[in-house]
Amino acid sequence: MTTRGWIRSVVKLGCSIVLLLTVPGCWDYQRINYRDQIIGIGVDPLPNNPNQMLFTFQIPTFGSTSSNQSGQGEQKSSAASSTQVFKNYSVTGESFNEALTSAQTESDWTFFIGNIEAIVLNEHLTKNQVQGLVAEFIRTAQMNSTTTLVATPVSARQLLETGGEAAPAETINRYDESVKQVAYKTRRKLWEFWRDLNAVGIEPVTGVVTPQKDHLRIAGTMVFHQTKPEEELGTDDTLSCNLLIGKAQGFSILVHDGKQTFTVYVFKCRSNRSAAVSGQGPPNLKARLHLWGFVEQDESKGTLKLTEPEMARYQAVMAREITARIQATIQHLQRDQADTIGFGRALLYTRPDLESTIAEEWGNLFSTARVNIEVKVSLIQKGRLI
Amino acid sequence: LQQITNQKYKLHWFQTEELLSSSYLPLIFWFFPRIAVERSQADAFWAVLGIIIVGLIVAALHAVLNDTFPSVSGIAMLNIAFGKWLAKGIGFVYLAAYLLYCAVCVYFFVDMLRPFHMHTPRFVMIIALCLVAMYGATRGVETLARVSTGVHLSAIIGLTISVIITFADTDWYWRPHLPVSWSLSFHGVYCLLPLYFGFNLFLMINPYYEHKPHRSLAYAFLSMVKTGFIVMATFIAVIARFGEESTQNMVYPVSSMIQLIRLNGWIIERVGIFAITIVIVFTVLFTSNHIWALSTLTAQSLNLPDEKFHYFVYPLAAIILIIALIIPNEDVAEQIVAIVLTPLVWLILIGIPLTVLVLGSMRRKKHT
Repeated sequence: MTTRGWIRSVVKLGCSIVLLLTVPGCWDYQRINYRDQIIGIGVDPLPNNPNQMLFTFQIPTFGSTSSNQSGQGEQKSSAASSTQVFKNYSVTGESFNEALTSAQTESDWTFFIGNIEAIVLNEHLTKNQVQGLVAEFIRTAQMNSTTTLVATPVSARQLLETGGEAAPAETINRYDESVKQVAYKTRRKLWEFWRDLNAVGIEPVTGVVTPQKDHLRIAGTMVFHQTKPEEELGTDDTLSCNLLIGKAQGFSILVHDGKQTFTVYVFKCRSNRSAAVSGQGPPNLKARLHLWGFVEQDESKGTLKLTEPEMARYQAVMAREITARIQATIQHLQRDQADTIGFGRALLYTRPDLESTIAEEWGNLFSTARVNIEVKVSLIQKGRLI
Repeated sequence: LQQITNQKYKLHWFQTEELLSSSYLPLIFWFFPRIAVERSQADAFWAVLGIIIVGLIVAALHAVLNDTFPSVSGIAMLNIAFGKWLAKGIGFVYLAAYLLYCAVCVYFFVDMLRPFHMHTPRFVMIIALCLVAMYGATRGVETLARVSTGVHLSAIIGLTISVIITFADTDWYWRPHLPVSWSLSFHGVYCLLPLYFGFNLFLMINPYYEHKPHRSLAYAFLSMVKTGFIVMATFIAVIARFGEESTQNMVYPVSSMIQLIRLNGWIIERVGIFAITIVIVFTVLFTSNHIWALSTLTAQSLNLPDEKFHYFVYPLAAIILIIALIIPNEDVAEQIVAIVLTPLVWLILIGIPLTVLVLGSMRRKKHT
């Protein structure tokens, strides 16, 4: 081999050796067995100290290894014999990362925050606390921004200690991702909440979780005014909101027609929202909804065949009832000056020149707006043997 | 036999187009929606549309230049227009600008990958990327063209799939509207031209493809239309997903959009990260292309044949590596783009090529 050939070979070998170092992930390599994966974070205010918060970190433990770990608030679920066991660390701090650093002093396994499944915010947190927390979560590069974000009217620490067959953080995430029915719950990921905090013409919302005796109830909507948890919407209002944003699907609804009732399974819903301003008058808001569904139980309880005129009547009755429900919800939201639907954004799309007005005064304008709701229902009734 | 060996390798039409396409975009691609929204505010969409039109003009200019002076490249083309010494001076400006450009591209890309390797020092990733790119450049234009056909295509497919999935699962926080301010739209166009920094490589590969009628124009337009489609689709996907307000607060909004893609239950759940892995290969190829082009330009400046380019690959790669290592943080890198590279790109992509075309054509007519 010539001298030049030798030099080339040495350079190639050197480069290959250097590049081989990068294969196992360089300095970021860590044995998975030595990781404490945080799957849930709960944040509560401290009544006597408005600057401090109580952070609860939930970590799953596997098999016998759980007995070697200890921490404040450690707890095992009722299914202790299975692998569905968790432990909680509760520490106080002014910020998330500070609390995480403090919590790390109680475990010789490195905390890993890339797989967090749920973040639970106590609804009594202040506006500044929520603002600071969400900004910090988003800025933390290792943080999983697709984490489910929920609010709770009780202590987040207490909620994360609720016994069940799985860690509460896991239950919240699974309910959010696996249960296809969207009716009485509000889905929000961390990044979506942050987006809505920044967005003009819409107020951020989260789902609500409340602990029951041995399980969690996930239903309702927490409305935030800017970053302040302001009001909890019930299940009916949550359903109306989901219909208005066109996300409601996979649920059955009882429709009333005088003394008679029938049940419809709604499998799809689409909505189109618009807003307009003219002169000095209040804004005009318009929402057009189209629902598709099956008649699951008719008024005769299956004794009579449904005719075409009957189906048309069912559709009209259901459209009327849905319209009334939605109008009631919008009036509720108008009283709170909280546009969680995004009519303000719809106005921004057509009038970008009004951005500063919408950013500053939309809550007030929304509360006085005239609202026009149009609902169209398409029903089918078919039997099927499988 | 000597004649055959001296002949330049002729690239296939697809290789030419892909090599060209894999030589621009990375500088500000990962955050151009933020620049568009910051500079043009509500008219960001019009700024992006404007830059796509400017891109087509740049493509036409370079294609006409290549067809006017076929079989010459780099310094030889500048010689025709400016004469020997001025051409060397302008060649040096190109060299300095492109070394800085490549270093900033490498820096941005490594910085974008930081969240995946929090504990790995930045210099390790920069060195690894530059080493592979340097090795690629030593293989010459033929190898780079062959590789680009696979890599660029994969990157484009990966990005397109990411954008389609994003469109299917977005809440549409943006709608198009008529322009609010033309001046802001034009300011956005001015700031977005660095997207096409690197297109000059078309002039360097001029002797390496066959000059049939309209061929140059077809290559340049095909590349630019494809890129324009990707740029616009990516912009709309980002802005529809995050809204204009949040896009302004993100360091690398395109990367964030891709990372949010999750397909639950699919074989690769985090599809976005998979797409980013493909883009790593693309960035290495892109850096290799430019190290090769700069080495060839340097060889031409010193009156050496193009084939002697490999003398300069190692020193030029080392300079890119050192500049990338010196940049302390992304704020400085963005300042370099805004203050140095943005004005330079207008000069390098439009000013100098246009002058070369006009002066070169006049001089040639005078001689004939």
